[in-house]
Amino acid sequence: MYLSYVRIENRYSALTLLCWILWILPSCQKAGEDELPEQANLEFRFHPLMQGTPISFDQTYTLPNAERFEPRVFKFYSGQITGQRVGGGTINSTGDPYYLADAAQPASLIIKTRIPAGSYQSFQFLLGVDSARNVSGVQSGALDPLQGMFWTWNSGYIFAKLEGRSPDATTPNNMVEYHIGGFRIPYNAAQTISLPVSGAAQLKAGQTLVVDIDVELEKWFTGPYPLSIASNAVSMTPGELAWNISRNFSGLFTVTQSSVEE
Amino acid sequence: MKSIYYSTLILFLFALMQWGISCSKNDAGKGKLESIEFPKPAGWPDPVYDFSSNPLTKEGVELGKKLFFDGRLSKDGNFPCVSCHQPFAAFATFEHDLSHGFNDQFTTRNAPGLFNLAWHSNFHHDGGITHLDLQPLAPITAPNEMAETIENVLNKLNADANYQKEFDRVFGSPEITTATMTKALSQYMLMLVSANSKYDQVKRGQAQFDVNQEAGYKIFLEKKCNSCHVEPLFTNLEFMSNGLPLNPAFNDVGRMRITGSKADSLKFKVPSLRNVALTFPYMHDGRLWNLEDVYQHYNQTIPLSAVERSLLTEFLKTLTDEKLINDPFLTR
Repeated sequence: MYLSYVRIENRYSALTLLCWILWILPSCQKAGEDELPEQANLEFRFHPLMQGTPISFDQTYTLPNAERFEPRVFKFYSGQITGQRVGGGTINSTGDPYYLADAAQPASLIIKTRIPAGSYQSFQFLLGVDSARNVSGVQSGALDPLQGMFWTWNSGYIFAKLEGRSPDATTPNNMVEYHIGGFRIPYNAAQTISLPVSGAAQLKAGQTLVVDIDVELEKWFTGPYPLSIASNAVSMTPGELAWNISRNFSGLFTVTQSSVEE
Repeated sequence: MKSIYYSTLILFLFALMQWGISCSKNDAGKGKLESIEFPKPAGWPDPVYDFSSNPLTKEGVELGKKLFFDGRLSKDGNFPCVSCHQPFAAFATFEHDLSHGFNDQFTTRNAPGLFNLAWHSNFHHDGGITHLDLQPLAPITAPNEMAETIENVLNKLNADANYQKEFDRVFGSPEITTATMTKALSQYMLMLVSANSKYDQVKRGQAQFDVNQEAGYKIFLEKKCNSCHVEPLFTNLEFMSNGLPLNPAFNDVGRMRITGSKADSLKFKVPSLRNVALTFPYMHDGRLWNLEDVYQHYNQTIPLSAVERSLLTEFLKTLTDEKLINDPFLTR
């Protein structure tokens, strides 16, 4: 109805028009981004498990190699989410956000991003932080160094943290501490994790694809680099051991279900 | 017609409000800021710090200085940055091989003088820190230095209304974050430019070396001290081993600690010789007390006679920058 004023020829019409311009100008830029057509939502739901059940922080588990482990802390960074379209083509998620998943904070285990609508056969994310962000000063949000996932004496992010105790550890208080990171070649511990979705996910504009992902923590200790708590209960610096442990990471993640929600 | 008038007026007021809200964040504080151009000395290489990410202002530098001198950045309030980086020692710790930290602890390395940091792309004796903005986080969180957490520091600063006001003015938001706190500190540290020693005045044609200083400068060049201590920074900013054996008290392997490469074992960043008369003791762990000890250490590779040593010392003293250590804007 305001528009009709613009057409009325009177001495206020110019002022009205000016008002409209003033009204719209400040929000112009934002509106432009939001109105990108064909955008859909992608939601990853991480489910940290131990031996098939949701991880419990006051329980001692027996690992596949018979060593015992009582987890206390499990956190990891994810970012650089991409999708592979059916018939080829890689799509990047909107923006370039990073997420810090913390097994003790259920809300942090659900991450949401935007991707163009389309048909997808798999997704990928970087478990870690790209090297540029390790060397370009102080980041904010999930990457703020105050999150405790940053080495201040050797600039760089801890990509994943697994802490706990084990009677098999020979450390003081039987501590088990794996702080895995390091962006320097040849020991770049950031790992690309592939998440194939069963069938092809057909995603229309405005819809949300929910991908449920099991994170089986016992697989931290198995895979290309069998890890023994008795011999290596601690990894606190970038380097060969951290990189070796990171090679197990892709085995932790399994897509159990993907569904499209309106 | 009247209704059109009123609705137009209301619309206009709303528009003004909206305009005001969206603009206040960008313009409010910043219009009043006095921007500073980085004082790059004539003929020097370009600094590596990205000033576009953190434009220098008088207010930003002053805020950084306030933080640098503020004990609240440490756990018990006793260890501001300036406790180990003392202006009168060219921002090193005067007469200390190692510095003191929280709970009567020693640091494990000698505090370097802080100046000309805009030309450094990494920090610490092992270069482990990749950006000036990240540097303060290391001493703040080190248990044997300031022993605090980033979160606690931010909580303490945010509880201070004056700080919130000043951060709002400089960075456009009263909430102090890791990024704004470290940017303010960087603004201050970047302004610690040492380029006004007698040596600099001689180079600019404003002064002359006396005969001893002149002779010492010749020795400096002839003995190729400048192959590592390159003018005008008096460092090539690289990691080198100068033959110091591993100190078993620390087992500090230097650059190798960062790169994991055996080739970097016992390599440390070449320190600047600027203000060297103020920054004793020397070497990464302060194990050499004075210049005589340093000449003795180099005796195998760069033997100097007693006369040469004293002449060289006369030259090195001309690298002391009285202006830097006495500048009231930078040293309070």
